[in-house]
Amino acid sequence: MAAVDSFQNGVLQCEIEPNGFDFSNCTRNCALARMGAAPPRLNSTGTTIVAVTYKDGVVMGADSRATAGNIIADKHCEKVHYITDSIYACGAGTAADLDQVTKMLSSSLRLLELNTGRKARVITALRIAKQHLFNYMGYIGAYLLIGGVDPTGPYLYDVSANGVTMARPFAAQGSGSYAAITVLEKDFKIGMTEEEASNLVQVALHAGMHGDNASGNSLNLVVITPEKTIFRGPIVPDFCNKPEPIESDYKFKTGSTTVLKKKEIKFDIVESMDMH
Amino acid sequence: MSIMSYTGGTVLAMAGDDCVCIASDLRLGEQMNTVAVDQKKVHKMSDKVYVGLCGFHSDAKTVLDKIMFRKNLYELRENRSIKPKVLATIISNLAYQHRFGSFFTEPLVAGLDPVSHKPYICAMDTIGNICTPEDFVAIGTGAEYLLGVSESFWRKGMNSEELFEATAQSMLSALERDAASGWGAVVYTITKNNVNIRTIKARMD
Amino acid sequence: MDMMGEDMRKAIPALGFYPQQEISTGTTLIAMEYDGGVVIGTDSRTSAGSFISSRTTNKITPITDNLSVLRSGSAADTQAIADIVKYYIETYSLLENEPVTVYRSSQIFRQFLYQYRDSLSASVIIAGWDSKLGGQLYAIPIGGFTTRQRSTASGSGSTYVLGYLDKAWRPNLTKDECIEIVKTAVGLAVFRDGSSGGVCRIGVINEQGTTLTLYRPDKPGFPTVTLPEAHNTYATHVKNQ
Repeated sequence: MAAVDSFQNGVLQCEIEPNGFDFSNCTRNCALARMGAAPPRLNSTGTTIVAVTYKDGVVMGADSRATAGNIIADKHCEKVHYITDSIYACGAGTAADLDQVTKMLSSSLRLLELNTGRKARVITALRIAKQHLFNYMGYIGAYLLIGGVDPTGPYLYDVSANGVTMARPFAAQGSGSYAAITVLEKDFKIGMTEEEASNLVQVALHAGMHGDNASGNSLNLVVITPEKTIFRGPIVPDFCNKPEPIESDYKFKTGSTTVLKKKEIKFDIVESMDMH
Repeated sequence: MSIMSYTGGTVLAMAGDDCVCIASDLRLGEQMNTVAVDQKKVHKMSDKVYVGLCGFHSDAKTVLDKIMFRKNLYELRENRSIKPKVLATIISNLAYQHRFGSFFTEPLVAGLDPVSHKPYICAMDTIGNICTPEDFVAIGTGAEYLLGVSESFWRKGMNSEELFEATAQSMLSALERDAASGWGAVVYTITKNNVNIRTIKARMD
Repeated sequence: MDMMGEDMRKAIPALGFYPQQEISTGTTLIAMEYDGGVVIGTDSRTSAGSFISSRTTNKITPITDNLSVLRSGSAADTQAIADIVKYYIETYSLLENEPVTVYRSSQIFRQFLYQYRDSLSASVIIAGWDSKLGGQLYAIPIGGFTTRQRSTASGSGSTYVLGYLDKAWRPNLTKDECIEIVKTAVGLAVFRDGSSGGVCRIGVINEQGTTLTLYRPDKPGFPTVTLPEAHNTYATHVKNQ
């Protein structure tokens, strides 16, 4: 028993209770990199994300393309991440980092809400994100637009991977941001209506999806008001539709493929005692 | 040369109507030199949940052990059989734990929910970004060819036999052009009532 | 993972690390003491390489009612330092039940900027007022060397206006005279420096607290420069219109 305990405390501890990053492969990977081996391609959300504040809320939107090099790794990935019921974050950068950072944000804010019995504020989300990202000196490649409504009003913040934050009336991030920001700079007005704001976000996203090869496929929108949060999407703009062939039949008849060996695992559970 | 294509190998998963297919080639190589011709890249996690691991074979083995460990620990702690989505999250967290020094392997999960029999397929990059499309996912050296051909072969609402044919034919097409994969393929068709494991005829060069 | 200083800004493909060009505030910061307080002035441009990532940045970060810090260098570093020092100063003033002096605040800044001088690229000006010494300015360039100044400028735009400031400063300036000098200096720097631009933010810190004013280039009050007319470059046979 004692042997097992010391074993657990040693090698298996990080498997049983994962805590933080594991750097055990770093030496090997750096050595391989030095030997000239190309690193694996990571999925990145080469992205257009756009957010706009209006009279009493925030509209945020994103395209839905994830790329790995020139391959479209995911045509309908979700880049508008849930943080709390009234706070959302759009992400650009390394896809895995964005997933994990937003997951961390939503869990810590949920805990905060349960502990305090109040709704979390947008500035709190911003602080947690910024301090986390600054700690990792930009190595966590997450570029976020955090937006939401709390009892003190609507807010929109821009967070960079290295920990820079800025409060903004409107913002765009990602590889398609250059196209999107031109639309925002031209048409943004203070005190827009919800409809004007969500139209502006859509037009800006269209610009990004048009002009940037790493953005496209479809778009998702979230409109956050003091009363409710409305999620809209996926919306496929006309120019993103695949031209369907007039006639296409790749239906294979059963038995087209020659099977050399066959094994079947049958399930014949009549009644399950499992607790599901 | 990238470590990801050092040993070669390809896995494809497709989702159908209450069924999923997961196929892998059988080659294990050292760059252009073939070492083994019976190396499945698909592993059984539970009755209706399978994972595919492509990329560097040593890392795939290590990661498989780690996945098994965490999956067994989960089933012991929770006293219930694992759902494919839960397994995917476990693998994603494992991969992300090694964010700064990753394993050179891309995991793929395919299976049916043990209760609702809803199909689930997903693929990840080396640091655990989950992609869950409704149609098909591919990983490994032949992924690029597979994605193209599957785009045509996949249709909505295929039954298990149609799905098997589509998966097998996609795989055969990809093996035609991927030198790092080959030497036959094996296709697992997972349905509510059974799992069919079929070794299909392919070119052996 | 032995990376310090400049190395850590480089791309590390094995880690999937491709840093964006660092967001830094290629800046103009001007500050000047007058009788009874200090006047501070900044531009508002933040750039990432050649892209202007913000044209309305506020580089004057208030720490207390009578203390502000002007930030230049890496935006991430200066924001983080300002946050942590603000936390320290608030804690001290609560524990001791009296405001922290400007000198002591500057020393808290110095402590962090000196201790982490190898990994930070941050240069700040601390401007404030306290009942002991009145209006004060402390300049802390990269490295952490702290000096009290009567008139100071920093950031990329400062090189264009140091001469002007030397000429303009004199003892016993009034508040309005001081504002005019600082505003002109910001205008001159913004005119010549490509990394400075946007709006002009002017702050006055004295016994009453801090007042911030904003001057937009499209509204009256923005400092302008009138240049001598350029020589035309038409060929001699072309009629000059």
